[in-house]
Amino acid sequence: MSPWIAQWVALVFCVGGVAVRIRDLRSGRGRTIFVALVLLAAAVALSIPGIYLSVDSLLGGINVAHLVARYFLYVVVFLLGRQMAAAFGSSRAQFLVAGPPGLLVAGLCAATTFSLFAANSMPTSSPGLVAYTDQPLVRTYLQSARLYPMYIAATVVGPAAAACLARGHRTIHRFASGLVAAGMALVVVHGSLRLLGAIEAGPVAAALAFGGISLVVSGITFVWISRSRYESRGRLSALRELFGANRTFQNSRQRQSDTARER
Amino acid sequence: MTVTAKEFQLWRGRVAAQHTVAELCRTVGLKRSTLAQQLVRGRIPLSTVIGVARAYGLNPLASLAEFEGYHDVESGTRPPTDAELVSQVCHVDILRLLVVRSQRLQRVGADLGVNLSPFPHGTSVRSWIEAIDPGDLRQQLSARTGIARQNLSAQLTAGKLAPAILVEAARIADVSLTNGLVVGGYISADEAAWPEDARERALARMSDADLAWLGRDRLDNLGKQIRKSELDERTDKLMWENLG
Repeated sequence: MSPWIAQWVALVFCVGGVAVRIRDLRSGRGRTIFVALVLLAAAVALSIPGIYLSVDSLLGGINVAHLVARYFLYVVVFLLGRQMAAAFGSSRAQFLVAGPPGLLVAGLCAATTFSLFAANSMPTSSPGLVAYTDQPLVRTYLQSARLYPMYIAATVVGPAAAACLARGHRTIHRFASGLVAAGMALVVVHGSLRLLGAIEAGPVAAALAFGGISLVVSGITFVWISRSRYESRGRLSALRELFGANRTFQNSRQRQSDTARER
Repeated sequence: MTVTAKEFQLWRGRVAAQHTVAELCRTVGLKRSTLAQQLVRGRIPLSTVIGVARAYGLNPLASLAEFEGYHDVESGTRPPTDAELVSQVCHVDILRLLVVRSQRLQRVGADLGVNLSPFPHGTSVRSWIEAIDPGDLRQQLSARTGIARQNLSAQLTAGKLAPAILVEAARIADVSLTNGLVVGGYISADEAAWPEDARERALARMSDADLAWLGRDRLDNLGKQIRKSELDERTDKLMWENLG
């Protein structure tokens, strides 16, 4: 089995999420999530060595592709975080992601990542920068790049878990929120373990990080499924639905007793 | 709720002595695995007992009366009260009747002028419980059956109460013991010997003021239900519009 299995799985999820949403672009809905998923697919693809090396050679072979992937990821977590905070109806999370503190954190992280990247000299293409991990400054660059995704994931995981536990919500939405919450939790766990030095790059770390991505993407794909099912069914007035529900109820009961009597 | 598998087996031996379990299932139209599972669990739902009784041409109530907890069901059968009958008319029919009475020269007690929709309807159980409530029905029900109040409320909102609780509610409220089973959809109104057109006659007897107040109460409940479904829809829309 390829050691890059987690990356490939996450890539398949992302591409699948992008594919199902292409049709909706014409009507103009779901554009933000579409852009986020395209960028996420690109960032995940850049974590796979073969793709990384060929893209990086186009960009000059000095690991600029790694920096580009970080920035893609920042845009993705910002967009997803903002949409999720709104979807889960959490004004606190919205404030922390897209309000002044969120923008401040985003700006600081983007600037730090760029200056740390520029401060390093990495003249040969190296997927995941593994060739340079003995340099302290490169390690700092890699660690700093995890901070912003962790910040957003930690902000969203609470509202997502709350939406998963909310009894009144649709089952499919509770399931989707649960997937998102689990995925975000994995992102936080992976980032913290890496920061503490408890795990190094390897199959476990990849499973945590890319497993988290797969869970989040499948969660929002379930929301897409729920939406397209709802729209294909059409909408009725609440009055009609309540009265209609009554009629189905009695009809099914009626049918049950009728068939029982026939027999 | 349920009857014990032991009692069910004894009863089955009497009413369907000539049939094996497989033949019984075929006659009733029940999946064999379903019944097997119910037997293994040791609890047979009432719907199975009633299904078997119907399939073998027995009176479901008489059959039910042979089981523990339901012995007095058949002897406790009386005609339904007006309040119970009116509770089984859905809100649309009540409103229609208000319109008919407002527009036509129709005396109270005369022919209704409205064809009632069949029942039980979606809020049958809840309306029935409200109609028979002497004031502390929910407290007494939860005390006697050991079901927590909030679970009881949740089941009432969903319109689903277990048969044993429906029978117990009727016992507490001192109404016919079978009526709960009718409004819960477990037995038909005919099987519980509800008179033909009883609902129509009960409605026709209502005074205009009572009818107006009934309409108000029903609209009040309806408004609450719709408010809730609108709130649910708002949370759904937030999900769809932001992540869909």
